[in-house]
Amino acid sequence: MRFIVNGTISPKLTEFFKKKILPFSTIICIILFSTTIILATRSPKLARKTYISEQGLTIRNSKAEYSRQELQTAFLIQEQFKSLKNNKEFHDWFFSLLQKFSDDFFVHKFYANNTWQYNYCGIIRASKSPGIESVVFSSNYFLPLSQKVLSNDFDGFSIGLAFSLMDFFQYAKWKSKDIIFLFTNGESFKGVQEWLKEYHNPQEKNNNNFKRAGVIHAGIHLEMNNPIITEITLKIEGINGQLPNLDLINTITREIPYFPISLDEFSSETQKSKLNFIFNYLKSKNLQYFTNMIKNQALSIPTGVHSFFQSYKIDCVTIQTNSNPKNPNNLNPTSLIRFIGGIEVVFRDLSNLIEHLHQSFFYYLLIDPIVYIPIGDYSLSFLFSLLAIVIRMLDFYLNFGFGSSNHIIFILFTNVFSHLFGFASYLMAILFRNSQNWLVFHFGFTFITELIIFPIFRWIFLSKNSGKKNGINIWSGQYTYSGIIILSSLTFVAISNISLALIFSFFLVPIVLFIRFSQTKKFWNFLQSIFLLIFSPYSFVLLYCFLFQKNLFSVIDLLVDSHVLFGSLIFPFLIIIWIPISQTFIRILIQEK
Amino acid sequence: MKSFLLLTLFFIFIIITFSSSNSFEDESYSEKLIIQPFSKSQILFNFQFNFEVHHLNKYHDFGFFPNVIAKLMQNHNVFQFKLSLTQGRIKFEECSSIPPITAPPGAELYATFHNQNLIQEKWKFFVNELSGIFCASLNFMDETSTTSIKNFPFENFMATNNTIRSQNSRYSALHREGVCTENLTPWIKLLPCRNVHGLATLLNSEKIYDVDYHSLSVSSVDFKEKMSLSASLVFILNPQKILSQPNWSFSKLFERKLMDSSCSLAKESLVELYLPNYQSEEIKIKPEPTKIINDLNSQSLYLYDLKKSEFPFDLSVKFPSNSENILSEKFPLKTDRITKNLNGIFGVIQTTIENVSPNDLKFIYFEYLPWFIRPFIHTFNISFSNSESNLNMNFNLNLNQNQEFFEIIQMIPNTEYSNPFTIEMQINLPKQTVVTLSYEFEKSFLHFTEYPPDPNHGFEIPSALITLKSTEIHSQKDQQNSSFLFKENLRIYTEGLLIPLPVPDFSMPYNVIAISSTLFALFFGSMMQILFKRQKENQNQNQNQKENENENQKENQNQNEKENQNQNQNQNQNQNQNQKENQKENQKENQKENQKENQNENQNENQNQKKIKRKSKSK
Repeated sequence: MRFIVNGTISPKLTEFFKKKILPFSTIICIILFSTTIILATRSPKLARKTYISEQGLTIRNSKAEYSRQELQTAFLIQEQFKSLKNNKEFHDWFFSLLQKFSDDFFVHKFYANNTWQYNYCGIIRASKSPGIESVVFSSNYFLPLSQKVLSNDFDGFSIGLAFSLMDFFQYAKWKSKDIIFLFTNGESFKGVQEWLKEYHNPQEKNNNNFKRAGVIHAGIHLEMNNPIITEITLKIEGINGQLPNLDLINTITREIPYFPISLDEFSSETQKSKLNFIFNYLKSKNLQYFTNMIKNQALSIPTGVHSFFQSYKIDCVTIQTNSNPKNPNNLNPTSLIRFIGGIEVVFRDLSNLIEHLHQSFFYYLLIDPIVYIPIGDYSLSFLFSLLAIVIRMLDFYLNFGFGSSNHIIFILFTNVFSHLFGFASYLMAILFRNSQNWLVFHFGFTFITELIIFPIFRWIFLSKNSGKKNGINIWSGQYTYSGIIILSSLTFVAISNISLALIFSFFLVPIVLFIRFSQTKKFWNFLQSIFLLIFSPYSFVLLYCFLFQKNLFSVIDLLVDSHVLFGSLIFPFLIIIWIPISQTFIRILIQEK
Repeated sequence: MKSFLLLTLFFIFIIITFSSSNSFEDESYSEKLIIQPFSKSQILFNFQFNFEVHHLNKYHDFGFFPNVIAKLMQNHNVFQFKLSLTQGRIKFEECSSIPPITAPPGAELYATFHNQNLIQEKWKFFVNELSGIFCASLNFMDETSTTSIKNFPFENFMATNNTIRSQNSRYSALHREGVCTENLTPWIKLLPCRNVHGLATLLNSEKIYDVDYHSLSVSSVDFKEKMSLSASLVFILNPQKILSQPNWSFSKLFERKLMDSSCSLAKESLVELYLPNYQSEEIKIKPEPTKIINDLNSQSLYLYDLKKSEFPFDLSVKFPSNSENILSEKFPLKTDRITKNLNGIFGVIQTTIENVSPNDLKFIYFEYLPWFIRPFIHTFNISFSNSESNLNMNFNLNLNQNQEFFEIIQMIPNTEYSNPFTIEMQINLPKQTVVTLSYEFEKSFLHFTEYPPDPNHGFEIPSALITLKSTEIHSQKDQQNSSFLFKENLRIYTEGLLIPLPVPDFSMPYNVIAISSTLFALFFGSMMQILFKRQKENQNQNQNQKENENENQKENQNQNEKENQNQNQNQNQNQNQNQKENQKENQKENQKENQKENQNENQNENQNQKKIKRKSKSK
């Protein structure tokens, strides 16, 4: 059977659809959407164990050499920290420690939140190396009078641990990359942001003594408040829906095997998400991990220190240690040595890596540090939801057809104009990505073009031959166009961030399926059509802002960043492709009415 | 008779060999070890083995001069060359004395040829042969990574004038070249006593490659009448890290000592130990030196002549407690080279040089970039700033060449898959002033077959070279007393750079192309379908109407034709006969007419030709 005859769908196929499928379209759509939900909830059971790729071949080849002797330094520094009384003392004390334990050091001073703030940075040079590569060890500090210290939440142990590692690495012979030790104020993430900015895009005449150590290959941020360790939590995420390199997580989970390692469940940003209202009802632990991972991946917004490294294509993971009294097996003194030994070996592995950690796995979800769900499994549920929209669109199209319009000049003119406008906006965004003015201009102008310019065009071109209303055809045409927009938008979102597309599909598909036009209820049809009109990538962005409680501008900035950094297609789609579609859609509405 | 013949042959052989071979008097060999404090806790060991041969002959029968080097230079017409293989980097800011031989990490090769004929080919073969001799990947120093250098940075070889040197010279560096024992073994083979006798016995490869900085080099000059070779090994180590104490000895550092004797072929065999000035009671040095010189500025020289020393020779130094190697003198220049604003396509390379010495300095800045890094010359910016004197000047490379501050010596733009970008300039840097050189560049997107096996590692860019003439730092009097013991030009290498180039997704190009193309095809297909469907429908409707009308017309015509056919059959037959007859008659008439016309035309042509001939004759 030929599907297309003379550029249109074959009459036989149309008949087949009309008689065999479309009478049951509602039931089919409900079944398809139910399948989406069932497949999504079942996918954690299809998870597989992670494997080590070519980048992580050196794992478990080296033995930790960090000993109790080095640990004494950590405790000594912790005691010194406790005796500090004010910020000046703290600054002098930190400076002297850096001088003593590092090969190169500097204090990075920057202005933020109406005060001068400090990042302390010590560099251990791998003297045998050419000095063009490095790895970062990051940790927080809290000033002696900060609330965190006063409430005994922080006792300076992580500072002591970092300096003891610095002391140890100074004499290690295996170093082939420099190791940067970064200490930032734990009250905010601003310190890491400013340091990374100054490291990669230095401002002239500022910080002449800022020290660098070549290209940063990977980073580990340590959050540790207590020397007693029973469990470890890994905080991971990635911009643009990509996760940090699986090899980095593999290295950590395999080199620190003595502790139960879990993934971060409740990052502060995902906690704000409106999705929790629904996801909190899930009782299966795997499913909870899965939904959290989807949320994290969909969010694509920095949630911790490790996230800021992603903007510079540096893979970074936060390791948080926890002490749970319910787990008495690990409440012994050797556990700390084992943990620090694990950190040492992780750095050794990172130092030995020849290649920069790169994205060998783009689309996967981790429900556990060593278990992953590949894209092939969970994207099926997404495809089923799309299929439901396709069936409903066919239903309308085959039963009612489109509205009438044949003004080719108008079509060509509007399309050429809108494409040129879209391309100009796209270029503007790339050229002026640091300023938000273009965003205001772009969005303002887009609305103006849609709401004012096109009626004027319509008056110019179509004043003599305006179309006539054609009953339900107007609405079916509108439904089909909206369906195409939603389908294409979801597909493009899925290319870059399938988790986000999956969440969108959960919300949008049932609404789209619910819409039905009738011959008699004109006002109801009008309301539904307005609802459909809202369905555009704008609505996607607004839905994202609502679900994750984010500012619109920061989201659009994120889209531009993701395009510049990772070549994501969402942004060019929005600008170059969506504008012509939406304007064509409006053209047809204008013509019909 | 036989015995007589054998005897004569024997005598002839002896005469030939003695006449052709060099006597050992024409050759000289010396070895020297210089030990000096390098930084706060580091010590520099410099092993120097120097060869010289006079009265070269074409047979290359040398006593101990390395034949392989002599052949190499004469085969490829090389006037001089210098090869260094280095691991690690020197922190110039921290050093209290300059290493006599500085080199960038990896491999560096400089060569000058006797003449300019086929210089690129000579370089290619020379590099390949050298690569085989020293087991290094020097064969990667091809056309794309080789450039010429006008200002000769290795002053001690200076023998020809500048123009010849710049035309005939080639320079290349491999920043990524790994250095290990397989490079040391052929280097040791150059020495006449190998590592069995003499200073080379201390070269325990396990220990040498465990140090902070290690540089092995060979340099040679061919003056046609004489040839010299210098093989040196410099390494910097920290006794505190190795032995957990500042006191050291040969046996502790190298697990070896000089057991039997010095190399008997060496004309002189010296150990020079430079130490900060201590009172003789404070420092303990064993064995007793042959000579002590205390005149040097803040340093003392302890000299050992191994020809006169006792064996086994195990030099050991025991410092007084709380002693430091720090010398008062500051290194004159501070350098920093970084990439900034890097993204997928563009970036900026910025080099900052600060003159921290009390004098104005004049130096040569040399930099070259591989062809796949394309700098924008219009963005080249040189700025001088001094916070004390409020000096702040910016210069553009093209427009405002200010010879007071800088002068471009040469600039070679890069060519794709061919020569690298090269810039060489002289900079006059006032004291306490910072000069910043920056330019934007574009990264090339290579063909997927051109990427190395680890493309995500990035591409290494060689260090920039700053050459400072020795006279620039100190006056001659000062120089004698200076702790900076260099006599040749001082070469400072900046940090190398690692630039990640855009990399294709090697793992799934087909999937990506197929999926994205399908999506785009579906999207645009459906869009076009929607946009033009009405037009087509209308066209189809019009076509159908026209077709229907045509069909009706045709049917009517056919019916009429059928009716007419029956009626007119007889008439048609008659008409056909008449038509045939008429046709035959017409054909005959036409033929006749044509013949006549042709005849007339021919006649006319003949007449014309005759007229032309007549005219030509008359002329």
